[in-house]
Amino acid sequence: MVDTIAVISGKGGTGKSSLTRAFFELEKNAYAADCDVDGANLFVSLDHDIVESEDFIAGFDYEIDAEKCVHCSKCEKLCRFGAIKDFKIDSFLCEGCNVCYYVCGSEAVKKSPKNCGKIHRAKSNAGFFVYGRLVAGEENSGKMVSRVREISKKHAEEIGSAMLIIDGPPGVGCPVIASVTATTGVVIVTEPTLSGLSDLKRAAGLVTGMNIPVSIVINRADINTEICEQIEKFAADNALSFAGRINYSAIFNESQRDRRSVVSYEESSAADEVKKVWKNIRKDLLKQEK
Amino acid sequence: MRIVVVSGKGGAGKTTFSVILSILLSKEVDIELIDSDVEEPNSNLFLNSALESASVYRKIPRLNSEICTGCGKCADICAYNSVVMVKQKPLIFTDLCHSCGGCVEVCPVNALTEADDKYGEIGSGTSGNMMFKEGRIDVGKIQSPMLIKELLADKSSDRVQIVDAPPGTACNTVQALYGADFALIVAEPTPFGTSDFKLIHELTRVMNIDSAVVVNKDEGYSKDFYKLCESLEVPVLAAVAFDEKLSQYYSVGNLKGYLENEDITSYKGAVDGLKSLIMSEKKNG
Ligand code: SF4
Ligand code: SF4
Ligand code: SF4
Ligand code: SF4
Repeated sequence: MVDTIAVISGKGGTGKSSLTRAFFELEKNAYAADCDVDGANLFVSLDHDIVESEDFIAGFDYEIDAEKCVHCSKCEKLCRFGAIKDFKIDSFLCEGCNVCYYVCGSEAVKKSPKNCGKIHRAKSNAGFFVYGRLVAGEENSGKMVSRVREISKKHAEEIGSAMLIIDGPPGVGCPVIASVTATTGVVIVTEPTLSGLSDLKRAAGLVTGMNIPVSIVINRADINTEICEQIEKFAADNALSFAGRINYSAIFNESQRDRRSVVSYEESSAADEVKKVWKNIRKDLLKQEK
Repeated sequence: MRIVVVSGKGGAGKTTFSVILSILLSKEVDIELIDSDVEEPNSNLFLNSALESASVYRKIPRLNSEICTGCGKCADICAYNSVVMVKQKPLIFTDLCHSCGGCVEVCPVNALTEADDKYGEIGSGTSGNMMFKEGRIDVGKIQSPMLIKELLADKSSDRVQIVDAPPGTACNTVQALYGADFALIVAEPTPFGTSDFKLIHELTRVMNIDSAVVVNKDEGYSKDFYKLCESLEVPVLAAVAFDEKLSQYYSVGNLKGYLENEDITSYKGAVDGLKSLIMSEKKNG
C-alpha cells in the first residue's frame, strides 16, 4: 500500500496548493492527485505533458419527451427538488434522483449518461500526477474525487511510487470526505485568523471523526502570532500534531508567476520553513518514521 | 433583489467583500447579508451578531421490516445507492440519502415511512440596521446544497440580499447562484486566481446571470487579467491593492474597525457600481 497524504485547508486561499506542489517536489518518488476538482490549480503552475485523458461520466441528464408526455403531472408532484415545471426539467435544480423516470407511466422521461468533465494523467519534472476538471456547474464532485484517486493510486502502485500526495478541496462536504477517506494522514493548512481557526476546527473534527491522524500547518503565521498560539493550543488540547509555522512571503505569489515551486528558491526563508514543515509532517503522519 | 458574491475558489476575498460592501451599502440601502458558505460560515465572525439558531431537518426513510416483502423496488429507484438489498432485505445508508422520497413512494406495501433527521442550522440576527442570516451544516453531513436551497428559499424580502457564496463552481455554488439577479465575482489576478476566475465566470454565463468583477490583491502584475476581463466583456467595478493592514484587521474579525480607521477609497467603485445596479433594478422592478 502506497502511503497517502491529503492536504486540505477547511478555508480556501491558505496557500494549500502552493504547499502541496512544494511537498510534491520535496518528496522523492512521489505521485500527486489534484482532488480540488472544481478549482484544480496544481496543473496551472506545473509544466507538464498529458499522458492520458478520460471523460468523467457520472449520473444522468433527465429530459421530458414532449411527444410522449400525457401531462399527468405525476412527476412534477413527486419531484422533491422543484425541478419540474410545465413538463420541463430545470437542469440546475434537478438532483438526478431518478424518481420522475421511475414513476412516469408513459415512458416520457428520458435519461442519458452525463459527461461531467475530464480527468487527465500528466507527467512533470516533479513526477506523475492526475487532475480532474469538473465542468462548471456540475454535481458529482465527490464521485470525481474518488475516480481521480482510483486512477492515481493504481498508476502510483504500478510504477512503484513511495507516496501519493492529494491536493484536497476546501470545506467539509462530500468532495473533502472523498479526498481524506482511507488516507494515511491529513495535513490541514490554516492561517492565523479567526476564520482560519474556526474552519480548522470543523475540518479537524471531520478528519479525527474518521480516525485519521492530522498534522496542522500555519501559513502566513506572522499575520497574527496571538492566534497562532491559539491554534497551537487547539492542536495540543486535541492531541493533534503541529508541523510548524510558515511566515508570509511574496515568494508564494512569485513562484506561481514563475511556474516554480516555493522550495526552488534555495536561499529564501520560505523554502527553509516549508522544508522543515514537510519533515515534521512526515514524522507526524508516516508510521515508519515514528 | 439578490446579489451573489462568488469566487472560483475560497480565499480570494469573498467574505471580506461581502461584509465590507454590505456594511457600506447598508448606510443607504436596506441590506440583508446571507452567508451561504454552509460548510465554513465565517461572515458573522466580523459582525458578531447574536444569532437565533433554528435546527434544519431533512426526511430520511425508515423501514418497518415486519411489513417488508423484500421486493427490492426501493433499492431499484434509489439513484444514490443509499438503499441496497442484502439477503432480500433493504439496508438503508442514511448518510448517502438525498431525501428524494422515491423509495417511500414506490414501496407497494408502505413498509417505508419518513423520519426527521437534523443536518444543520440556520441562524439569524441583526447587525446595525442590517439583517443577517447564515446556514451551518453539521460536520459529517453531505447535504450542503439542500441547506443552501433552504437558506435561500425566500426571495420576497424588500431588502437587497447580498449572498456570500460557497467556494468553487460545483453544486453548492450553483444553488447559491440560482435565482440571483447579479453575480459579483471576486478574483485575485494571480495565475491560480485567473484559472479559478475563468471557471466561475463560465458558470455565471451558463446560468445566464449578469456579472462584474472586483479585483482583489492587485499587486501590479495584472495586465493579462484585465485583458481577459475585457475579452469576456465583464466590467471591472473596483481593484483593491494588497493591504497588509487589512490582513491584520481581518485576522481578529475587525473589518468594521478597518472601515472606520483606514483609507477605503478603492472600495468606492464597487459600492457605487452596486448602488447604481440596485437603483436601476428598483426603477424597473
Ligand atoms: S409523469 Fe410522465 S407523462 Fe406525466 S407529466 Fe411527467 S413526464 Fe409527462
Ligand atoms: S430526476 Fe429527480 S430531481 Fe431530477 S427532475 Fe426527476 S424527480 Fe426531479
Ligand atoms: S429517499 Fe431517495 S435518496 Fe433517500 S434512500 Fe430513498 S430513494 Fe434513496
Ligand atoms: S420496496 Fe418496500 S417492500 Fe419492497 S423491499 Fe423496499 S421496503 Fe421492502
